[in-house]
Amino acid sequence: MSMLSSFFSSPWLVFGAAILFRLALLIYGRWQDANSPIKYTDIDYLVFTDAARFVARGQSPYDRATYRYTPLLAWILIPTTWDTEAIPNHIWFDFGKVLFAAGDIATGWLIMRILVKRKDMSVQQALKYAGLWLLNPMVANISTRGSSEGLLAVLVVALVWAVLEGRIRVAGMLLGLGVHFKIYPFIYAASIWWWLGSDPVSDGADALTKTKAMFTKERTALAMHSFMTFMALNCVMYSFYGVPFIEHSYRYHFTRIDHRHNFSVYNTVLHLNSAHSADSSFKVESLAFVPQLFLSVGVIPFLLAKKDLASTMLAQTFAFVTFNKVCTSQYFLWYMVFLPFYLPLSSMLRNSRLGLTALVLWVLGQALWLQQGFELEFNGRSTFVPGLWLASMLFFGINCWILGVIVKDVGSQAGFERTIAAPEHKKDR
Amino acid sequence: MIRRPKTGERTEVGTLQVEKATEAEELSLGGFLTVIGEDDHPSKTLFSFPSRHHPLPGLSPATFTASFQQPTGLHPKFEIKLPRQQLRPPSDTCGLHAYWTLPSALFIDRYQLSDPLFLASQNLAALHSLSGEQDLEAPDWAIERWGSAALSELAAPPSSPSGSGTDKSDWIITIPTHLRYLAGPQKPTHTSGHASIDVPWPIVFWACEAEEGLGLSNNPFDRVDLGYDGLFGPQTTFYHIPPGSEVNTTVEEVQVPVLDSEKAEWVQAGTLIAVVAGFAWICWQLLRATSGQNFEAQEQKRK
Repeated sequence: MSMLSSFFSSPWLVFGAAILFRLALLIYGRWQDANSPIKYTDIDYLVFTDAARFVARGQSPYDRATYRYTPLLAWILIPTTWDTEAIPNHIWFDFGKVLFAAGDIATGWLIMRILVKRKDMSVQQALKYAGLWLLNPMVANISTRGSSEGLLAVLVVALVWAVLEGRIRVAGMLLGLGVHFKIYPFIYAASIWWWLGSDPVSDGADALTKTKAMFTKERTALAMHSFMTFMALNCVMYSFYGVPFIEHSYRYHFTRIDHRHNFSVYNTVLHLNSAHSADSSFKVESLAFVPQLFLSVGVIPFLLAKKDLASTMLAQTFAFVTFNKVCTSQYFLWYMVFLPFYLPLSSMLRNSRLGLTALVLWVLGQALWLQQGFELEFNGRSTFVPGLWLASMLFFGINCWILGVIVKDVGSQAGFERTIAAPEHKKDR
Repeated sequence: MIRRPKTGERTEVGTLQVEKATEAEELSLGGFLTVIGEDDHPSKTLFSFPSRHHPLPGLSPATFTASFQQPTGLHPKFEIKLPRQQLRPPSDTCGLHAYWTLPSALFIDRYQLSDPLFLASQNLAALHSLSGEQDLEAPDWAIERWGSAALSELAAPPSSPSGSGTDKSDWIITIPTHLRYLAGPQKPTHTSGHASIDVPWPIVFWACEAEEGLGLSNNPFDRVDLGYDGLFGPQTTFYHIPPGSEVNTTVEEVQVPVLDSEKAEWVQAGTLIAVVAGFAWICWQLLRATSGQNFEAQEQKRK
């Protein structure tokens, strides 16, 4: 036990281990790609690097089929197309994976800094929680395979850091960049808005004063900087690539019909209604955004943000992913990055039986679904109904239960994270 | 029935049979020709012409069989079996190819077939051409085109060191494909969750470079624009490998798992109930946690 404690008391050891782990995976990935017809590299990475190749030749990244991201991603991966004497191209090709893995490490470092500075934790404690991200094999695997989720994680944790440090303009810019990158970070605008709080007003103030007090300098700065960053990026990308940019980066994500089976509770309904669109029965999925947004942008940030910003963001993201029309395992990383902030105040940690049950059920729910998916994909059995449907319903139920525990934990926190001075009586003008 | 020709027209009738050609790349026909209305008896004839398409030379030419690996799942693997022993290229410039037209429900992923290691493991040499519908994600009911066509070069079996080889096993080439989601049949017949699609066999042939100066356009029976010949140079000859005579069909039926709408009556209602219940549970937990707090805080204030 004490060896573990001494391991976690040294940042060098923990970060060193995380870096070595990722390095080992990168080297193993190169070996597997070179020697096996089954590749370690994610197919998405091939899409990104193909698009980067197009950009390096002065063409549009959208010339690559299935590239549905911001051109920024292809731009930052241009080094994967380089070929120098010192470093040949087949090494430069892995630049993106190295970048994403470095993003993981940066995320872990930011998590540690926030926990130490803002949550009054010792370095050892903070490293234990940060280790959930840094030493997590799922996280390391996803980044070293070339999936870009790690970049979002850095952005999002940097956003938390900026808000907690009071650097609201930086936070606004990070938010704008995040929304441009992946769209979903717009939900964090709601929690940051409520966390920032309104200006104090005396009890007898009229409605107009109360409304004006809602738009504080900080809130306005947040809104303006995020909007300006978002629009500036859009204008630049549109000027380069025109309509295909809007089409693939944004519009596609709202209207896609390619819902191959995934974890989402709506998947079977969507499949059914898409295939048999002649039936005029009421379509459940057209209102799917209602509970999703009501929870993730409405009640959760409104009721919980002031108590603990990062835990609220976890709850928001968890709700957003659980109630989304599409859910793949990459999305889990979107909320996992917030776990180190939530777990210190979680009943799942205090009551280890509860925590273990939650973890086991969460894994079991996926395993059941994956088993049905395997029967379909490789054995050709028609498991769409009831197999996959019931498995996705079960996983949905498990996630709702977990989210219930999370919101209860955060909601029962006493006091506000950001102590605001009591309002003084002001003379109404 | 042959009708009398009008003025200015000539109708010639020939009874011909295939003769052995003197040149390797030519076909030879011999028999009798008669011009209707002009000749009163048939005249003997023997002529040769260079031809693009040939049967395989030799006494016992190779044949192939094809099938899908079972179970097919959503990623059917198509196998082409050729006899190793009889598989010899007519000349050194020949490459073994398969030209395959696929219905829209089935598709080939060109990016999957661009990795040399993977290709080698399937005994493929390269995917030379893929045309038609190539969307990798869309379901079949969203596809408007009829399908796609793929020209693949197949790896020839390595020549055995013992000469003509005593290996009686088959040389198996695999082409990986993927199924799009299909809509299940609408009728109230019991579907058991599967629909079937028909996939024709590909044509398998050796494509060889013809000798210089071979006047392929002198062929009165020349057929061009068959779909694949345009993908090769103009001086290409084709030696076709026929399907084995023991097979009685050259169309494969694939069972595709589909969403059985019969079983899915409860899906809409069930999903709605689940979503509403989950949503209500979360809201309930939220309110319990936060309103209880406020109540306690107010109690504290009063004290």
